[in-house]
Amino acid sequence: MGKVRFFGVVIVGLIGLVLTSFLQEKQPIKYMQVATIEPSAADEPSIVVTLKDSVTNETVFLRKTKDNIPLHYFKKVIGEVCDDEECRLLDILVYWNITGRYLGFELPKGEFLSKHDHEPFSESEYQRLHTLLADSSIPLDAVSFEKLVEQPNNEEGTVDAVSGATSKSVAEMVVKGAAYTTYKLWNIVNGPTMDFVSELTEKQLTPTLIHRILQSQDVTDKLWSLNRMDALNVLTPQLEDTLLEIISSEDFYLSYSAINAINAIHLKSFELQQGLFANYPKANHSIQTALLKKLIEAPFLSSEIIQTSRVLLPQLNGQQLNDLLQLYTKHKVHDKETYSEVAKILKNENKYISKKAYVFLIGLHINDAALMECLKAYKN
Amino acid sequence: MLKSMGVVSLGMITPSFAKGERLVEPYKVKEESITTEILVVGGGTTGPIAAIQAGRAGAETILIESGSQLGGTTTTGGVSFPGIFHAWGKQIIGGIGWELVMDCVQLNGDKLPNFSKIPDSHWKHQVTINAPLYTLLAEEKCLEAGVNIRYYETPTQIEFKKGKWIVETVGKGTKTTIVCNQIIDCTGNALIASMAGYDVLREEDTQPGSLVFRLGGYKYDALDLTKIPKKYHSVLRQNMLENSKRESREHTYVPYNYVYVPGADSTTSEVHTIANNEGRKTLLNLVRTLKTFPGCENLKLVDLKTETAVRETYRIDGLYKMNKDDYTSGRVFDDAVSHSFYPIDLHREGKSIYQEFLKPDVVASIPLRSLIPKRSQNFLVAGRCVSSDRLANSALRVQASCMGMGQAAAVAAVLASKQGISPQEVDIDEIKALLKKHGAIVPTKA
Repeated sequence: MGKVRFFGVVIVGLIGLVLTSFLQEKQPIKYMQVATIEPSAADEPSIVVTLKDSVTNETVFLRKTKDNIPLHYFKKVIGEVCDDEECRLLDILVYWNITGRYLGFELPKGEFLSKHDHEPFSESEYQRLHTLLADSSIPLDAVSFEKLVEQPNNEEGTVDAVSGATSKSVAEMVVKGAAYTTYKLWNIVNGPTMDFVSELTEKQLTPTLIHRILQSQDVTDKLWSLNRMDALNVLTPQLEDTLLEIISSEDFYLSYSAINAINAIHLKSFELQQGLFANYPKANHSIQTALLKKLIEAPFLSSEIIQTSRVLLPQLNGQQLNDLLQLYTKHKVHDKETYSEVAKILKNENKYISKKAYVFLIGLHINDAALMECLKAYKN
Repeated sequence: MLKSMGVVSLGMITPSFAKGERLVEPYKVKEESITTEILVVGGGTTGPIAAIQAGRAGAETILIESGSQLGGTTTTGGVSFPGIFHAWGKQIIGGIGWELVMDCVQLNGDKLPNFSKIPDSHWKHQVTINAPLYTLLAEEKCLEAGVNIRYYETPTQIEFKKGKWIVETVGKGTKTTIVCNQIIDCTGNALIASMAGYDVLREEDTQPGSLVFRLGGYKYDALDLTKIPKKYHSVLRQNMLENSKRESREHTYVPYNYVYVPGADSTTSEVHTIANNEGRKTLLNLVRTLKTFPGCENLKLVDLKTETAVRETYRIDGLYKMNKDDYTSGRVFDDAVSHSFYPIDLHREGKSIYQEFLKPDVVASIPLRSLIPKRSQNFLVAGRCVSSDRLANSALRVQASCMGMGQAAAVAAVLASKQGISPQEVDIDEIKALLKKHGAIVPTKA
């Protein structure tokens, strides 16, 4: 029995040795997602800047192009991943995109990750780890590791509309046999450094950089960029075009976020105002409302919009009419051509619609006999 | 004799009034007869959307609701996270329901979930809203659309005569006869359909209702769960409703909980009272039990919704009965008027949930025929009593789908009313065109 065990240990050791030397021959293990900014030939060569993470007090590196376009951040992580002191030390480089989104990881040449039973990760386990690290919605920051591992697996499943930060089973959140490695890496990737690097990029934002981030294939990068557009006082023509393109997309949330990214100062631009309204006729109703609400914030309303919108008046439903008349009210649109067009709506047989026109016209307090006649006729 | 004793003054036999007081007539039930084009019965999730749409389309509309506010499951029942309006990166239900949700989100300063990202759990695309605000906005939009809202009223009798529905209702001090051209049954229980004599169906075993509440006064992470029986762990953990106010990371949650109420039915005062009694009794026992556990001594009931929310009661036997395969295959009917996107979600005996998710890019559609009872005239239903088999119904019953149905039913009813015909006789293209004009998203074949 003793001999059998001895030979067993020798065989496992030999396999481990062969596997280790095999891995050492291979290229470093590296898993990367789509980058926010893929460096182009024009960007090369890149330089690396060393930074101090003010939250964790650790060193973070920034790789950027020579003309100061940040490409990504990375950090070296070394540490224990199990409690029997027999595990390989974790030795890994973790990468973030400039938006704070997880980019990937890389192991030094010859290094590999191992599980609780000291077995090396398989290809599918690396891939799973990579996928888990990229999912910032996993609630691995909501519980301590001790709580996590003692948590019962899904008890009654989720109910409609609800589930919980802790209702996912452990198995769904970690690589099997490598719970602590997953937990530790996920919390590094999605922890304070994520916010730290995001804030660092925020401080470097220029119209050019925002524009480049908006070109990312990843929608969360686009949203990150849109949510920070407010910092810019002026939008370049290139940025305005990109914004308008996003607004016209079929993706409701992206379109809605792009509209909300525009502020009153940006709306000083005639081109932007007109570009926004050009989207109106073909947009979904909810986006139409958002477009008009945005134009309400403008410091003035382009005369072209007044003319173009006037043509639309007869075909609008009550809610659309309401939104447009609110825009007119806010910008004190009371030229004769416009109010005469609105006055025609008083004859609409739909009371809901005609009342909107009446309320708008009465609010104008205009001394025009023809208009007074129309209002009187409506009242009667 | 008393008079002779001089103790009776004029003031003692005739009531004396303080300034501004007057003697009122004895209580009398006010009886009246009123007419309208469209009558919407039920002011829950579906009814207000139908009523607003009918009003906005220019039809005279009455909405009767047996309770005191609009919104039903969304407000009174506490399921204040309606969904699902988006699927696979696109909006699939828009119109008035979505407009209400958006107004609520904006007025409350909330943020929408990231609909661009396909979630790992369907509920992450449900939109948390401020329920009291929703109540106010729904009422405002109804009134603005000219809808005559009649709270505290319920129908008692219904008859179809000479092309008109004659509906008797009773309310607090009211007995009203409503004469209308078209009825939309949004009771969720097919109450009016049944009253009108149309066939309604019910499963022998229905899904449980839920009484929604919230607990506080303890820290889940600090509890020693080894000293608390396992069956209470999930109760103490509470369900986590994704908070509308998100930080840099997506998952900020607010706790939310419920107790199941087996067989809950809201069709009559009697059965709904039982459902409320049962839910409240169960909850009270639960609170008392939980307080006996270590770490839960200061546990408190922080919030309790007004009534037990109901999942399943009656369904109509419609011109078309949607089945589970129609739903999960994303079949687009020629007369599809609205979408639905939610997994098949059947709460079985209150112990487990059968769920079946739609495959990528699949979105279900609802045909107009499923909103029309067989052999009916001038009549539509909208909401969870849509004609469907049990599994399809377990998905169709959710709020966004009901809102979509409400708007579609109203458009069909308004056109039918204008043309003096039944909804099933209206040109379906006309219905679709008017729906689109009012911002609804109408399913189209690929």
